[in-house]
Amino acid sequence: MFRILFLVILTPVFGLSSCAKPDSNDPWASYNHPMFNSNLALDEAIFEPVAKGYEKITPDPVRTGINNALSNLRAPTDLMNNILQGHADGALATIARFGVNSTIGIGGIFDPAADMGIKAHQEDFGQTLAVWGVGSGPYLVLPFFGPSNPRDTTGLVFDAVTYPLFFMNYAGATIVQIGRVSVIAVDRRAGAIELLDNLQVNSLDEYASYRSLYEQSRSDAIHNGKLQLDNLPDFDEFDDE
Amino acid sequence: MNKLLFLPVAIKTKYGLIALCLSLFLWPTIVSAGTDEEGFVRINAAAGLAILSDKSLDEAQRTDKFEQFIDQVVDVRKVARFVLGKYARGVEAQVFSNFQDAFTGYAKSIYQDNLSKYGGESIVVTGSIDRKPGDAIVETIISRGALDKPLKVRWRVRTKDGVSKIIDLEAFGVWLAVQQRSEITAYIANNGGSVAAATTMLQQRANN
Repeated sequence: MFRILFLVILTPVFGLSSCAKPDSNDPWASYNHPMFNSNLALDEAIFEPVAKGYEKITPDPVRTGINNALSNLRAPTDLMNNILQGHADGALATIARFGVNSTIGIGGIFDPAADMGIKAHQEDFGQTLAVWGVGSGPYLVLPFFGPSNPRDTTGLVFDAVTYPLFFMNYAGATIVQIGRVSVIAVDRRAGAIELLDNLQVNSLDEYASYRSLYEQSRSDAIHNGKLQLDNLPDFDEFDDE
Repeated sequence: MNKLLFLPVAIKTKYGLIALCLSLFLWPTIVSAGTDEEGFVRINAAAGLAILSDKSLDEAQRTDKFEQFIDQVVDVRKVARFVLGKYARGVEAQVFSNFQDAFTGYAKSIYQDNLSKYGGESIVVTGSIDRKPGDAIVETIISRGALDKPLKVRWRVRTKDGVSKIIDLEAFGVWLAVQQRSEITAYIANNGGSVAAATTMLQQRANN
């Protein structure tokens, strides 16, 4: 019932073409481009310096431990979406990883589950909607959050409001939530410093670069890394041979 | 946070796009029957690594040899045509030729800058899939050396008249030529549809 409701609501907006070929799909470019520039400015002013400072003062093993712990805290979201997508093996692996890493891994700081060969199966509701056949809709740059589309934005909101800590009521809940989101933000930005600096230097068009990277990497995540032959472009399309 | 909610896999691996470029030039470690395309990738990966690792060459000699290698294993004309996208249609021959030269020079300069940091990696060919006759995807795993985790890389190999060449490669779900097409067509669109403008920009980038 839940799944049907979502399809009814979202299909007219996004269409039923699940996982369209990664290609320019940007009818909202007149809004997206200025928002992208605003996000870049915000990143340059705040997030990048904070992330670089964090990287500078925090030893590698500590950053790894924090990253592991944050990944471990994703378990409820990963579990829910693996189940919704019908991925029994992913759901079981998520439960196993959470159990092992929370105990032997001391609250998720260490990742002994990986050493045991239990792979992570990260899923989010945007991917779930895609698996259910909901099209992505046009490219959309969110304020602060960056590259997205209507489907993934819906997924982002859904995952946020269904996360256990979101609806638990306890003293200091708001501060905990803000703290958690902040740590995630800094950790992920720190992990991307070299990559994004490389993009900034080598991109021929930074806006187009981010858009293409987002679309391609999301398509890959939705298909769990499996090659999508139908999505590959034809190199002969504009050839003159 | 605004750059963070995408590139989920790429962000997790420190070497990101650099590793993507790295995949062109690594040592093969499996010897098996495989397809012609698999053999092509296996053999040429060894040749590329040998050039990068050759300490008897000075910087200029290594660059020259490296560029010759690129010209041999990559179908630069096909890739240059592809990255122009719709602007390839009806482009004048000389304009395209200038663009192809500039694009090739730019790409080689990027690879050279990034790959000089690496050495000692190994590559294992794990299989291949035919998209259509003459268009195959070879799957490999690259490991050790400067990489902190094994990296899956796919190579798109085009075979015509018995000759195989690379036209694209993928890591972390991102195909390099597709990425470059997105950037170049956007640049051309922002410059009045001028392929010549893109040529000039690429020449400037390669010379920096």
